[in-house]
Amino acid sequence: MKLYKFVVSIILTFTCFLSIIAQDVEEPEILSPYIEFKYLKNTEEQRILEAKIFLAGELGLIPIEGLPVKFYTNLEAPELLGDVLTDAKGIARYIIPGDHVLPLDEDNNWWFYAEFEGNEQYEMTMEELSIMDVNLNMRLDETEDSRMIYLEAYTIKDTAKVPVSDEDIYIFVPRMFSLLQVAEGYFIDGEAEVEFPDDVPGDQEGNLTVIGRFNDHWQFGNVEKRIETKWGVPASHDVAESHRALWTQIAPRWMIITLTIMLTGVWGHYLYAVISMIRIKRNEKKSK
Amino acid sequence: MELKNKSLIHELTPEIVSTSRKWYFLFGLFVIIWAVGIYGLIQQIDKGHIVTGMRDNVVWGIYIVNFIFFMGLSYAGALISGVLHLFKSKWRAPVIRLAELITVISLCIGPFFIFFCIGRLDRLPFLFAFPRIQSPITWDVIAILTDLVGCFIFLYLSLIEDFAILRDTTDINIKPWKKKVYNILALGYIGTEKQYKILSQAKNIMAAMIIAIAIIVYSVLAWIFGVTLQPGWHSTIFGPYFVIAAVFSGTGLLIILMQLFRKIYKLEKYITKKHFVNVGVLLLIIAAFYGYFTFSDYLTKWYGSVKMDKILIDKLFQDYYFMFIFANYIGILIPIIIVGIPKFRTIRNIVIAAVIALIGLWFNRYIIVVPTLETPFLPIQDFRMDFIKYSPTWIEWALTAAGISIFGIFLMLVSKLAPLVSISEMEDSSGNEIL
Repeated sequence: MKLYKFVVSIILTFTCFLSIIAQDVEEPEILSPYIEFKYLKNTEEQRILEAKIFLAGELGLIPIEGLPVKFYTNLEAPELLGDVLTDAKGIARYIIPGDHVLPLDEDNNWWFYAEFEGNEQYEMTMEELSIMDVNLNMRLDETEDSRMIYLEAYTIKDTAKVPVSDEDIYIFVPRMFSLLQVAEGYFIDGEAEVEFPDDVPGDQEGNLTVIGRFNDHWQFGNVEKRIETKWGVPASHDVAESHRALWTQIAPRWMIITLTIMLTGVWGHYLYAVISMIRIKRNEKKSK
Repeated sequence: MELKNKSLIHELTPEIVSTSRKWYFLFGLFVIIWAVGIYGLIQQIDKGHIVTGMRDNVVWGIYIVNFIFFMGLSYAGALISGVLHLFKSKWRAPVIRLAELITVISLCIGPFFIFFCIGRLDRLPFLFAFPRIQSPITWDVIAILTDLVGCFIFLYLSLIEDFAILRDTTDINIKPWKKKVYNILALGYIGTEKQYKILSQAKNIMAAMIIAIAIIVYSVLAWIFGVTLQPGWHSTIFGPYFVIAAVFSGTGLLIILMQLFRKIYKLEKYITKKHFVNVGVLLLIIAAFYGYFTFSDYLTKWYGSVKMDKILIDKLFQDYYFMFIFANYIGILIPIIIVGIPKFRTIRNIVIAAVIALIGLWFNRYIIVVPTLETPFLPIQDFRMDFIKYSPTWIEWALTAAGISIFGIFLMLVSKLAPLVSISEMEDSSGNEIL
């Protein structure tokens, strides 16, 4: 019986410790998420509402997946535009149909708000924004000694064009993780001219995408135009060969020599042990 | 080969002659646990690694913890058996075979946890088809294979005399098919002076070899961590630290197995309190070394105040508080106190100290692997909660338990063919007052 008690006590001890670390014994806590709400009018003239819900953690922002976000327009008499779940990046994205007529306020603005109503795990959160619709056009022109970007921006009020003035416009190119700002310009009477730098890397043939963008603008939100062009510096991915470095095909010579000596030494002794076994077997025959 | 002490063969070969109910009970228990693990493995193969807690950041979970743990047990067994053999310790006879078996069995089980961890097992042959000798992973594969072959040879050499005894004995009733197996495995050993000399030389050389290999191989495993720039891993003392930790865990396991087999096979006459105290003192000394290395490692990281090291240490004291305290305080101090104070040195207390040491070492491996992977240099953003905080699933626990159970299964199967306490060693040392 003592043996069984001993075995059972060992198993119980292990189980106890494993269960302690397997369980997250924490009181349920209602967390307060943050919401980031953006408007984007893309190069195809689509109007997109984007809400990102996240928690602020020690190591950065932790997105929350699977939360329903409701998008509304018109603050005074809210009209539900759509209901979208956040994806793995915590983003809920709603594309406003092109034929949807949005109500304007007296200042010619659209009002939107995004709301997560809360659940047993997360508190309710919402954010609102107002957007003035702006039309942005962009054209590229290349001369012998310069590459120019010409931009035009205007709003519509009572069917009349109102040129955008005294506002900044930024030029970006897409890079691996985000957009890289390469130049900026300034609108005067609805027009802006920006010189594109000549040292921006493109792909192997020099292709890149030029983006003119109102970026997180207080009145217009994000509005952009994109044009593909060959204005980039052709990128070369040739890597100089480092002879016998750790990352090359051939190992460093010192390593080959060291490992060869060590392995030969060890396996040589194994061979000796095997030969010894053969000698033991032979000795039996001689003894007979 | 004839034995002078006839009682040895009766007392040290109970399971070779017949199978006890205890054997069936334990074997059945282990098989059930193993079967649950296999079911978990099938789930994992069917559905992919999404059924585990491993994600983009924590790509090494408890599978790698178990791999390091089992490999550590193996190297410890090799070091202990090699040292006991080379230094001809008088008290070694009843424990050396167990140490050798720990070595080989752990070495067979450990690498399976790597296979569980690999998402694309079909690419595994590439490691052998296109090896890059400068890769620490290739070093590890070569090292483990070399160690496995060496330890098998050493175990086999130490079994030859026992096989010869079992082949020739008429004192116990051994089945004919087993006799045939012993006849082949004994390699014609009849105990002539020349055969004894050849065998002793081969064993001495292999004992020295496996000590060296165990140190090198476990250092290589440590370097897989040490050569990366990850917080918590990039440490120059990881090689010796891993070796000491391995011996610590292996000594703990040896004590537990000594007690188990002492009780199961009624070996109280051969494995006495003196053996527990001797191995316990070894545990105490290694606990002190292990504590010293642990303190050195964390002190230098803490004093350096490198941002990521600081975040990691804060995380260890907050999210992993229990494991950290158990691994680095309780797991070290309790064995030292129990074995260090003569009043506490009973067999039961030493076994408790060994269990605590073993659990502490497993926790130590966990807090080396997981918190570091949860603390990458690039800030975690746009990641889901389960990507940031690793939590093992039941499948990982089931496979862990299966690993432990398969250790037991192997040991019990070996007990059906070979004595778990070396008959020849006991015979040789019977005049040396080992008991």
